Amino acid sequence: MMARVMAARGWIVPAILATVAALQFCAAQMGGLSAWKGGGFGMFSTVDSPGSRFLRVALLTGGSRVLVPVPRELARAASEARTWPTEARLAALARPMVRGRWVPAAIVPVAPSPAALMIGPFRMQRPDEPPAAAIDAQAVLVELWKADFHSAECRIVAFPLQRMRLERSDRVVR
Amino acid sequence: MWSDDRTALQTALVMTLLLLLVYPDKAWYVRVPVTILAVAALVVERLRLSPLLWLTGGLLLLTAALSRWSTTDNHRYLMGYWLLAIAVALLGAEPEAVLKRSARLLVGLCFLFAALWKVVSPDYMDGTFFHYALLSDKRFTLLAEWLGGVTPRMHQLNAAAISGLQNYASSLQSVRLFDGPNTRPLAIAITVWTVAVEGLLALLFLLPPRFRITWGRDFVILIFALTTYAVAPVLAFGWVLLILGFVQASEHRSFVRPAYLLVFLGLQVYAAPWPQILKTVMGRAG
Repeated sequence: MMARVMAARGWIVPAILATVAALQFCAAQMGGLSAWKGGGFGMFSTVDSPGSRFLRVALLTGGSRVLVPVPRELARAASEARTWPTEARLAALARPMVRGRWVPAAIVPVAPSPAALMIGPFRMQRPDEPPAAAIDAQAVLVELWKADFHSAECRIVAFPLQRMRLERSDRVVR
Repeated sequence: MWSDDRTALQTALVMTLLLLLVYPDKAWYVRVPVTILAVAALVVERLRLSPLLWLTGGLLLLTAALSRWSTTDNHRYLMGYWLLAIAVALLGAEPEAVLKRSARLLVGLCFLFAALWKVVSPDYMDGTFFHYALLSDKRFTLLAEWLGGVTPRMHQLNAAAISGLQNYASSLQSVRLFDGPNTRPLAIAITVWTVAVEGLLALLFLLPPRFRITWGRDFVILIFALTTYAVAPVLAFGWVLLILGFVQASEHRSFVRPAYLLVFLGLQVYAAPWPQILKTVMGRAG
């Protein structure tokens, strides 16, 4: 048995490549994984790369929606959510954002009025920063958008691929 | 000189070590140990034949690739597989023959999956992907400007349009891009060429060497390397393919392996900043 394995060992690593590439193909065809990543060979085969997918995140504060950037600390979570969007990955991105302290990115008075507090842009405070007056986000809406290219019109048309609304209580609203 | 498979194996191992040093992993916790292993094996010839060295390198590369799966390009996986293939070959008798088979199959399977992806992607086969890439992907800037008629200003405006669409505060759902007069026909030409050559390479490398048609595979892969990496300068991938090609080449055709080496060296010319160089030269000439 061992002698046969040793004689056929030239096939082992190619078999591993084929297995991983086949699994990636299935995950991309059926599970939303981008063709460009995940151990396959789909780069340069479709417009739908992780780079052409993008996130739009809104904090929901009572009656208003505040669009916010994804913090740098969550760049990896954002990258994974863009490349292979699943409910778990969107939640991994949404959870720290709904629980974070969002403050105006510009300099504001020590005790800003509620109206002044809602003037963007906003950033999420780091845990080591002293708490500042923050907006009261009750939920976060994370949308992953996908871009298609309409060649005849030379136009990029984007549409939401997946969305998740996560409340501060960790409840997902569908 | 490389008509002997044993000598060719040693050369291929050196080429692989150079690949690891010239195109290291971004993560320091992989780059540092792999660099140490590569330099040690370059300096101490006996280490190059250690399966454990190659196994360690391969596992480090693949672990890093998997840990950063959302951003890792496919050639990093291929590099890891290649190191594992070397380790497996060196474990037993006739490592040269075993590695030749692994190299041939790895190349064939890469191109099989690459061609498959293109055939099943509707936005590839109708030329849409390359039309979009020529207008938006920096890697294709020179090609788009020289042959597609896209001006640098158009590229700037297209980049700004895409940035505007993807900005976190944007409410846009659609943007129009500026197009060159020859971009679409160029996109279709590249589309047809790429899927045809990748399909052909898959066939030539996966068929057993006893089929006479496979004798042309070295020529085709060298043409592929010279044309593709001039346009899409992912040179690490080019080097991996050329090393695999070098290893699997027949020892009976004495000119083939030197041709691989020549292209392996020559590919580095593509690393020069040609868009800036050409703009400077043409600016001075004008």
